[in-house]
Amino acid sequence: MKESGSTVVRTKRGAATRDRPPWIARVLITAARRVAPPSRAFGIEPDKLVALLELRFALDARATRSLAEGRTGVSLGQMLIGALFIALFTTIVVVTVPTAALAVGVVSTALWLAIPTMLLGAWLDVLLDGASESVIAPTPVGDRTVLAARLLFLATYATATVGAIVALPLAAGVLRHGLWPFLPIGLVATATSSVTAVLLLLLAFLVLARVVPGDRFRVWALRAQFATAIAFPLAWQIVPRLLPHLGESVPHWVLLAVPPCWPAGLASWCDGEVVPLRGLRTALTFVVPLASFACALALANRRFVAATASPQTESHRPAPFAAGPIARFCARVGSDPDERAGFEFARVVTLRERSYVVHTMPGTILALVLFGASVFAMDRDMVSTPHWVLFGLLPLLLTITLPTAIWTTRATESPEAAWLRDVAPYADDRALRSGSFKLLLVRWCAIPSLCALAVCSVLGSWRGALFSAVSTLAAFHLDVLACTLLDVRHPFRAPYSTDRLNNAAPSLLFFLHTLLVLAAGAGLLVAHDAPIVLAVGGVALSALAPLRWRALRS
Amino acid sequence: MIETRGLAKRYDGFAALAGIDLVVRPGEVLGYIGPNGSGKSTTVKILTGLLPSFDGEARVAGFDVRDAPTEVKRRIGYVPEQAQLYDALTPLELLTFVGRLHDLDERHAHRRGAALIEAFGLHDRARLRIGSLSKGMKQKVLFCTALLHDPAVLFLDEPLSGLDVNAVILAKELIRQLADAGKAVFYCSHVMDVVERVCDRIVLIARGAVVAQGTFAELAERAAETRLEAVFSQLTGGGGEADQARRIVSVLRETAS
Repeated sequence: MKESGSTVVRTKRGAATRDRPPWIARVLITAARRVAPPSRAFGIEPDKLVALLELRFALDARATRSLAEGRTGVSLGQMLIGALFIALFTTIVVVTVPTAALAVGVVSTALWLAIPTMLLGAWLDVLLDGASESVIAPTPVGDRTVLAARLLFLATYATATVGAIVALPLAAGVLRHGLWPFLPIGLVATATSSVTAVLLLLLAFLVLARVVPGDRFRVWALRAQFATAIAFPLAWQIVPRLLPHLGESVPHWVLLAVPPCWPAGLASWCDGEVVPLRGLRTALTFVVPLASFACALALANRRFVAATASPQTESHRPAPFAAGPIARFCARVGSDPDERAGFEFARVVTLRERSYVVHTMPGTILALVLFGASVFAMDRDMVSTPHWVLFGLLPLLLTITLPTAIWTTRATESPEAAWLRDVAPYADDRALRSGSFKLLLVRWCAIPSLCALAVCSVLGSWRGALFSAVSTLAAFHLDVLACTLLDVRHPFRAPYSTDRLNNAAPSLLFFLHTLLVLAAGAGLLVAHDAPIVLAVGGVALSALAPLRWRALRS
Repeated sequence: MIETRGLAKRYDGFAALAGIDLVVRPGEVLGYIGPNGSGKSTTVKILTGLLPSFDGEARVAGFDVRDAPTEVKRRIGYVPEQAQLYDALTPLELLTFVGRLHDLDERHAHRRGAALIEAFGLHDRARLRIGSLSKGMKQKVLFCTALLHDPAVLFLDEPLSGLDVNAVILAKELIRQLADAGKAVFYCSHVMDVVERVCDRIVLIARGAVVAQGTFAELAERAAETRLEAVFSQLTGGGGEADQARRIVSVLRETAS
């Protein structure tokens, strides 16, 4: 039926769903009701807190993860896949290190890497809620209540993610280092590291809201994402080199400044090695989260909530539209002017959106994988695989995050998106979309692949180059597959569209895609010392590549 | 009900408001008009407690906006110009949620929300997602959220945007009757015809400062015009639009390939 210029159709999407919140949400809401009286002492209104929590969980259950609905986050399922990836590397290191204190430090390091990265990248939309300015901000709800509701909602995601990260390393650590003191200290380290990471990050946001004008807060928050994305992989490189100092009788002063080393001091202390500086580290484990909480409470004011509710997301001075020589060269991958226009438009849109996923995630994942590879390369006797194999797998492993990049990039949004309808109303939108996909493929596949190819060629000569080339081709095919499956231009043709399966669709797709990537990686690892198999596989994948490239447009 | 003295706001060195003095009494509809970017929405955001930092004084419903924003928000209803709603909720769910935030009992909020939705003619959309509604329907939902808790002061920032003719007539009638019931209405709009008919007094601003204020008759007399549109154009430095249109057409001709 037509009304006021828009079509209102009673589709499955338009109909209101009666989703129940997940069990963890129901438990949290019940708990929030029970602890109502004490929360008033902190200026939190319990009834409104429950209302806000119920809203958040209802939105999350119904969200289609579409930018058109203001969602840029990643689902819990996708996060858990990423968490398991980190858990795997952490487990390997935990069983390799000689002492329980070191193992606790490693678990803590994993949490300090993962939680802020996820908070800044995937869950930022919970903190920066655009709709709250129109709906919540004009109502008489206290800022602390709004903030508490957001934190509690984030806490459910964080709890599940932390559980996924630490379960395997803790189990493996118990087998390797025994129950006492590893398990109790490991659990304490898990709790304190998670809470401290969240609170310190929140504190950073609160301070930012004080020193930065409200309407620019989001721009600065996105800049903080970039900084963190660089800082944490760097920490991964620094912390393992510091951890061996934990066993020394005179601890290095730097250990005091590195949070993952604090709970490790507790483990050493429990072992009977009582040293004053270790006691100080142990004290920091408990004092810092409490102090952060007190500071956050003092700083949680109107300015913060107003800043995070502001719709301002873009820089006042956008990035220049003109393409440089490299971008102009890369745009030639488009086969006609429409495709090249799509490529160029996607380049500018992603540049100006300052999307964390598109810009920073490749670098973050690359740093993570490099760290994982360096663990193997440090001769820890875990595997006897040559180094060039580990570097050769980088492009393949990078494709795990590509569907997220496609999903959260406005340039590849549905045809209802403004840029297709308003800017290019007469262009072939299929070609434009294909050009947008190609931009992402160049960024996410071509550039890291070339880097890996160069490293492998140096490390493993012709065998390394062959392995890397096959890995790159496999990555390319999986990337194109992800683009094809996530093509929301034909929602009822795409097998895993959100319209058909709602919120479960992206998670299912990302899960299947990750499984395919891991399967391809395992196959390559098995075949790494069989050049003939690799060569045959490479020829077959090369022959199919042009067909898949063209399939992007169909 | 609403009182400001020397209200000012700067963004990155740009003065969005440069000292606004105004008063709105109970039962009065104030038309707040001005060119694009003159500071109308900024004024509304300050008075509704959405912009915490500003200079000057502002009191709404007897409370200082800077010191007691929550008390102000208890007593106001706000229809924003560009609203981003929670599209995955239904209108009834949204109203119940907003009612709870206004300290209404959940059942009471649900009942009143359903009644308002019915009154605005949205009863057959009450259980559809807001995302599937047209712009005009969303605007009606916003009216419902603003009225749900029976506020003493109403802030309407371009409330007629997207509404069809019947809905505009309804909105005009509603604004008038709400004022007659003793509510103060702060009404921002570019639709001069509606401002002229509905508002008791008009404040005209340009570049963040008040250019003129008074009843429509007073403004018309001062500008020697009979229509508010002409008064607006004269007092805000308008005119020459015909020449501007000619320049635009000539640009098209000159750049035609």
